[in-house]
Amino acid sequence: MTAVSGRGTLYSYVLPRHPVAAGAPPRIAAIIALEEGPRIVSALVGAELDELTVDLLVDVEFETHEGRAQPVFRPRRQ
Amino acid sequence: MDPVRLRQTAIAGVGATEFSKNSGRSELQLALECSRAAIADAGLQPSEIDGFVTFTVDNNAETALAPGLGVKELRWASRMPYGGAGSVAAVLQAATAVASGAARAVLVWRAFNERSERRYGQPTTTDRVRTTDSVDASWYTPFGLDTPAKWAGLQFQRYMASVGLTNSDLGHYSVACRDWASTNPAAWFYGRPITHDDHQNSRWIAEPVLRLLDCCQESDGGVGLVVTSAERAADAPSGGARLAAGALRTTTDFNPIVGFYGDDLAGMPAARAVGQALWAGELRPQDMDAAMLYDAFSPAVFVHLEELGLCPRGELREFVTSGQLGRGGRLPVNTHGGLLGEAYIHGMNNIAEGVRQVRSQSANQLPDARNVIVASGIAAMVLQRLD
Repeated sequence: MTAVSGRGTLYSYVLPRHPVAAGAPPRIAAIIALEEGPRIVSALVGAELDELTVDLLVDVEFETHEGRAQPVFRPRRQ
Repeated sequence: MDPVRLRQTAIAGVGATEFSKNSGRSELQLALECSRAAIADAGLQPSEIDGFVTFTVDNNAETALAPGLGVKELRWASRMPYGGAGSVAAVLQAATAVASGAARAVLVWRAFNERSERRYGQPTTTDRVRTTDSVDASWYTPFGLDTPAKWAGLQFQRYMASVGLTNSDLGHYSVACRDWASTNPAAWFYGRPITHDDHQNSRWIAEPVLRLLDCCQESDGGVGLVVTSAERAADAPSGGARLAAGALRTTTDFNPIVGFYGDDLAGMPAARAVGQALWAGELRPQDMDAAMLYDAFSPAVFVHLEELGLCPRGELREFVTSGQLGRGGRLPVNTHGGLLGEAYIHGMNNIAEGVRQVRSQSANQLPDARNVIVASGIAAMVLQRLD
């Protein structure tokens, strides 16, 4: 097993406009390519859709949902 | 499969129910109707069917269909996974049975009330039964990815960014297939062509990739096909469609719609491998008179064109936007209207149109359709006029 740094790039993204099951507001869904190789599906926070391009540098942060930590990613500040 | 043996098989019969948004009858009834029609079209009796192939996700059991149809003895029954991507593969599986001698006449069917009962386009909740698929889903559903359009949108954004396609470019296929549908009485878009503005004004479903008019129908209906030997198919009342070539390939990380981890989402390696296998013999992409390409979402048509070698790399955008997929184009695509314009029968209606074209029975008959490629992601085949 390899520890990952939480650093990566935005491999792909989409903003679902069709309602989600739980009725939550839409947020940008993303595939993140982690620096160490594997990909993870997550959310992209802290940016609007029209600011995004593939391969943007991103960093992990954690949100808490129902007592559980969930990784999301934010564009890296240069 | 051995290409020489494959060439000795053919689709001899095609049957379908009407395509609607509310069939008013059971999925079993739809399966029986389309199957009976296909068997009759092949010039066979139900008692002559000795093989069954359907999709793993079809709700109609073999044990219900056999007595309902009057099938006496089955020698072959199998099901194909991968959802609609398995549609062409299901036909190849039936052909494998015929070519090997395991069965003589194999019925392939797919029938569902996909609009009036379980809607594929609506959000799904994680299954309580722990399957490998539901465990996989637990990694993406927390991020709002709960419909095929959202999954596909997430994959295709990488593809479109890589090859330089925009949603406006997709609109040219969306318009072309609705134009074909507009003159096909069986199609949902019959009598209702759309403009590029209509496409661009339709609402976003998965921004910036898919608008409403980039998405397939949700449909009730069924399609049946009968696969048998080319020799036998020659005696069918309407003739047959020879399987002149065919190939099935998947790649390590392949997953037809939630494949977020595959090596190359900027393309479809499985379809690339299928193309290489398909053209290893005498047939060439330029021999194709039409193409029926699995189009659950419009970007899939672009991926198929490029990966199967039907359009030179780098010329894709120009090829589509200059109208080559429509009437009078170099490669008419989905001349029934496809899954976007005719109905969503999980790819089976695209195969049926391929057969109709080579048998000169299409509502939008092309002048000289001798070779038609039919493809659904992991598999493709060339249907050829029997003469």
